[in-house]
Amino acid sequence: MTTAENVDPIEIQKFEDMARRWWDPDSEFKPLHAINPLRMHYIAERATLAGKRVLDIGCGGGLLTEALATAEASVTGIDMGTLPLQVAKLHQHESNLEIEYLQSTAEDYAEQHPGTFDVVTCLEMLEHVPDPDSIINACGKLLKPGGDLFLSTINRNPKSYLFAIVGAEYFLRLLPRGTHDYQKFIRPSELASSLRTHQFDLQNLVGMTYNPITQHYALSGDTQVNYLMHARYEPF
Amino acid sequence: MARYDFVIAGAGLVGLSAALALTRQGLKGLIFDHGLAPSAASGATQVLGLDRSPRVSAINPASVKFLTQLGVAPAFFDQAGCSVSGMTVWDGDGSGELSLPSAGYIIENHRLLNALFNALGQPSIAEALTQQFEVGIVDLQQDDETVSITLTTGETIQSGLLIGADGSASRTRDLLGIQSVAWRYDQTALVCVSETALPHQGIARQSFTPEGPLAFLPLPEPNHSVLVWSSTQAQAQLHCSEKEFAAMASVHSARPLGPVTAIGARAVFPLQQQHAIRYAKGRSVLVGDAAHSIHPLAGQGLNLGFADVVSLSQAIENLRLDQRQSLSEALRRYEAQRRPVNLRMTAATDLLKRVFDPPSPLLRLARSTGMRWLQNQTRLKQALSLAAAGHL
Ligand SMILES: Cc1cc2nc3c(=O)[nH]c(=O)nc-3n(C[C@H](O)[C@H](O)[C@H](O)COP(=O)(O)OP(=O)(O)OC[C@H]3O[C@@H](n4cnc5c(N)ncnc54)[C@H](O)[C@@H]3O)c2cc1C
Repeated sequence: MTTAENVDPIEIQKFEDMARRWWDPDSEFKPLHAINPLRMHYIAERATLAGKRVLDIGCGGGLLTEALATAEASVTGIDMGTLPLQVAKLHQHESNLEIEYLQSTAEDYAEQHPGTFDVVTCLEMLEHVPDPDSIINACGKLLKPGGDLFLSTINRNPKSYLFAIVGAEYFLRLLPRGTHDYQKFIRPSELASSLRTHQFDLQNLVGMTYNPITQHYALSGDTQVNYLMHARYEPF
Repeated sequence: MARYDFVIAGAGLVGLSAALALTRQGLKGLIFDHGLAPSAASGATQVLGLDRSPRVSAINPASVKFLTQLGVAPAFFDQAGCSVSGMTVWDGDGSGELSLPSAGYIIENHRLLNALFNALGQPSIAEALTQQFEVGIVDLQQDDETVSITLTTGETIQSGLLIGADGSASRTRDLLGIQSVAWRYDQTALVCVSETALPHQGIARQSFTPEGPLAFLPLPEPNHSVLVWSSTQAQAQLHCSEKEFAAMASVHSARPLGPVTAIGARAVFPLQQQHAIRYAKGRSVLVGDAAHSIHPLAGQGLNLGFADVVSLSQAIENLRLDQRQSLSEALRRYEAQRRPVNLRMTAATDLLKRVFDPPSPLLRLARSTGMRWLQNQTRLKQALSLAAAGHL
């Protein structure tokens, strides 16, 4: 597959519609706001950020990207959605952070910037692309040897189906219908095997679970629905 | 200060089932009871025959399913209880009889309690749940985020959710300032284990006697039943000799079961119906008898309590799906789902009791004619047995 094909135009359109509400913590993006501190903490604990070159793939409206910049990393955010990128840039004016936002695929960007980054993040994004393995390949190209890769996505099993699709999307229209496609959900074992193929060493796998009473997310051993992965690029 | 996801006041059957349901969702909690710890309380676990405890419950198929999901072994019900295949109701003077197919079990309360405690003993659950006994609730305060609960130990604990499962005299309900409407009956329930000349064949039987409804609930032994007599004469029946009592009961048992040949120790319970005007307030909620207690005539009290817990735990689970909904909204949703159903069952039981109660000749005639008529109404009978099975 050529790099230009690893983008689903319908997926891009779906995100543009919701981009306006991105930074509103009480909007349908509430879960994203709720998990952001958690995943940011996970990254900051496992990799040095200050003064490092960091790439955020699928940066969307810039929620994680800004957190990375606040941790004094030199951050680039790429996405294929025009509107989310506009949202991200607009918000950047308010927050006055130094971030470079670009419209590009991971594959194209990797061709132009091989071996450039200390840290690459690709969170809540793999479940939206037709070929996640190609993204992992690009991540390897982008990283310096020994660089850190952070991934998060949704597991594929009946429970994750219920929570992610029925729950978040259909149940009370938390996310517009069709944001997620069950077949695109990825099992941790599948992701691990793709990482091995592209010369990554898996460092850690952890679940993210929601407590309905405190209404907070926490890291846990339960990877049945949402999970985070940390891998290191070891090409030699 | 200790902080939990949930705190449950009352480790009765309903409270324990709620503790299991919520810890199985991955939540952490505390359950406390002002009674003794189970090891101290249940010395009589293996007692059989006439000396066994007469506190039993009819468990319908919906409750069996729920308890199995909570980790009670499916084999438990056949081992510990008596499988019920039918229900026969007849008029004291033999003029009307109604038989319904039925499914479920009659199980001694303390065995069920033990089964729930065993399920709570699984390592992953034991880790997530703290149990405290000989501890009661003294005070509570709640705001948008937290319920603060003061215990009789003087300790104050914090929780995201408080569940009042402390029975019909619920202190939690009072502390929440939730009113309840109560009807007292002129009857008291007298219960004892009884042996009859003929086997019960797994049929639950109830006779409408002049003193009030008399039920024979089958036990695992073929000739043993628990006798529950909701009676205006309970005091006299309690204090007379065993022989005299057996003779009184035999008048009604004679036709299907033969005479009562022996009885165990007798105990009495006051009877009342009661319904809380609301179940949910802020981050607190009532379940089981704390929310509603009904006349035992229909054998549904515990089944309704389990159904409450199914609904409550689903409402909480749904918060994972819809993360914009608040907990208090979910609790109100539970109330909206359960209160009408529980009220309907309460009203139906009350009606049944009143229709069969007064010994006026006209009503007796209507009653026996009615029962004969009902016997021929297949659809109505189906509806009745569905309701009894928990599909109301
Ligand atoms: C004679 C009789 C026969 C019955 N037969 C049937 C039947 O066949 N089928 C059926 O389904 N139901 C039946 N019931 C009803 C059934 O027993 C109840 O509905 C059921 O037990 C209620 O369970 P619960 O856990 O809500 O309350 P309870 O069993 O009353 O438990 C409440 C718990 O809370 C504790 N507690 C109370 N106050 C406090 C406090 N302030 N602080 C801490 N702890 C406290 C108590 O120690 C107790 O452990 C019958 C009832 C009676 C009286």
